[in-house]
Amino acid sequence: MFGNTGKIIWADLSAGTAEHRTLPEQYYRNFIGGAGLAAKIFWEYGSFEAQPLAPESLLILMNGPFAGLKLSGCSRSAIAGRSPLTGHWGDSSCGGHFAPELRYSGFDGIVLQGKLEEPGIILIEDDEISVLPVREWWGMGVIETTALIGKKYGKKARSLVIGQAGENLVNYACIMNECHHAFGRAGYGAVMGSKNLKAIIVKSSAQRYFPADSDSLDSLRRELDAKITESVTSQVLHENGTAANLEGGVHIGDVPIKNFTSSFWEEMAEELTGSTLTEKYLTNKAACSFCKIACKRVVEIPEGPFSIPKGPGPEYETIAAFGSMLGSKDLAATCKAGRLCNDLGLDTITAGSTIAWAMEAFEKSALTVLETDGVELNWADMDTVIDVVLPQIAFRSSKLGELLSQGSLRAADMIGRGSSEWLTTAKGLEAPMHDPRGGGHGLALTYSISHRGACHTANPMLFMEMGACYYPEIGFEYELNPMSSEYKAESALLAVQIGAIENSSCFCQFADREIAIPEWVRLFNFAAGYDWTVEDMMSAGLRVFYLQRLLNYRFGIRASDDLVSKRLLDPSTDGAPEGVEIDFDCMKKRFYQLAKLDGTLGIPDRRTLENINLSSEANVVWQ
Amino acid sequence: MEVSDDGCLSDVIQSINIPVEIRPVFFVNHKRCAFDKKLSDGDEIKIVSLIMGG
Repeated sequence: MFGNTGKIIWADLSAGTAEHRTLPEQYYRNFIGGAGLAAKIFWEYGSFEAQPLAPESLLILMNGPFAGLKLSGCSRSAIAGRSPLTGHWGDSSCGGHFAPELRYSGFDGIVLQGKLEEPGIILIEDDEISVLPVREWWGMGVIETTALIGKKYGKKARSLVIGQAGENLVNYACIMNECHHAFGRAGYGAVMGSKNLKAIIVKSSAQRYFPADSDSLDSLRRELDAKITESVTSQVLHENGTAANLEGGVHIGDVPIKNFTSSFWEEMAEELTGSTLTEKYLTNKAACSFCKIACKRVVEIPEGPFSIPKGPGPEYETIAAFGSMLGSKDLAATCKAGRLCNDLGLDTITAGSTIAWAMEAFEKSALTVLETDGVELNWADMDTVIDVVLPQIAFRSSKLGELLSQGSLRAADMIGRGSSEWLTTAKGLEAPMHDPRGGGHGLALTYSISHRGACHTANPMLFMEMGACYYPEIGFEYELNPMSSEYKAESALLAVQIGAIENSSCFCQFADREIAIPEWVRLFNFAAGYDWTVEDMMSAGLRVFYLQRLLNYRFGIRASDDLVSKRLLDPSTDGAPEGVEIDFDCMKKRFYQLAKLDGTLGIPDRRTLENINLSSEANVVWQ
Repeated sequence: MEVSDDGCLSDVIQSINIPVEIRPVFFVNHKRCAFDKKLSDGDEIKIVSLIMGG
């Protein structure tokens, strides 16, 4: 096998054992790696009855075939399983430094099942795997734990760590790499916590990556790296980080304000945008392994109420989630809230959105001080968010913390009083900081059909609507009008295939938008030794998309669940999208026709599945 | 900036030669507009770059 190693670690934590296993080569060809291969592993070995936090629940971490290749954007991996936040299939992607180190140790991924008797870690040193107790680490934050790991195992050791939120089984706890990079979404930090697993540490002795055609791959790698580095987008990301576009986003109505109740706030735009972060607080730029874009920020706020020492800074999603979403234009507060979430191990998107929902509920008296232990939840009160609310969520240490630790959908179910009207979710996952009403109507469609729920990284629809990427070789060479439903179903069908390829090969969306479809194919062929055509690659993407839907079908998801909250569809009352309606039903109906999805069950018919090499899966769902 | 009586947004765009790489979006009086939007006296034009979208 080339690119991939064909080997994974299978850890049975109840037994305290971890062994090497191999996967059939056909799994890799059919499902690529990353999110796609994780879906196939769960399909074959996972339990559909086990609750997400039960010991028998599987947690699957997978690299793509390019992890270890020294190319910008390749150092991501995927983690997947049944989400404790949504209850159905999900996955999450993380950059940083773990993926290449795991590949260099000789493994494509790790499957975790069972539960350790007492808190422990998995230590991978080349092909030696140990499961070790670390009772004294339990209760520590991510920053302290990561520092301890560096001290004990050396600076070259790479780690995935949970904070107190994961230990306390908060539904949206995340998993952190080097305090800076997160498997943020869908709550896999809680799954790790439920297994009593504090950290996974990997250390390799050499950089081993074995492609099928190293000369051709090296030449292509240089070509692509130059293209990625020289692009205007990459240069802007390098200069001002992922929030570089925030100001522009406010003008088009893409940036959500006060729980999506407003679409325009001019003064906030300048206060929170990436160039302001650069001017005020940036000390260094940082990057995932081998990435020349370096969009990550290192910040320091030496004084003031939100002072923080030099360390990881916020990305766009965190700035918007703890800024505009909460009615705040205090950039320092977003930096501090983001740092705290990283330390506690909380997903900033769901945390910010759930607090925004709670602030609206408090404003409308659906949530009162009786349920918040006296805490007042007022818009822009960042002292309370940072000092009181976030810690109480991570420790589930109060009525308010317990309520908000559930995520907004379950919290709305718990308090009722019409508060579900103010949700901003799809399939139980809080929407990212891109408002479909201004950012592009196609986002409403792709949020609804995404297997994990409202997600802007499941596919490149956001970029396609912005005109930031085109794929003429597969028919996407036309300009989309973001404020219309026209051609959104057609482009979404291409987007879900490309998204599945991205998330299965674990490529960064910021880097890979510079890669043309034929270059993708050559990458796969040179790295993994395939003889793919464009059609083969796109079929693999569609196969992964279908398999993810089949998994959700087995978790009880149907066509009627492919929805987004009313709040995301109601016409905006201000800003550029004011009064514009999204024709969601029309887009969804058309997408279902094009993707050959059953209008009730939400999955393709038997023949469609058989035609795309999902015959055994078809036999299960179409008995 | 002055435009002719039947001038539209595309005339302004052409005259200031904005590079397409920065993916500009145009607003007239705070509303996002297509290139053929006719302009009137006193219209406020704002140009926003959608260069990335993170």
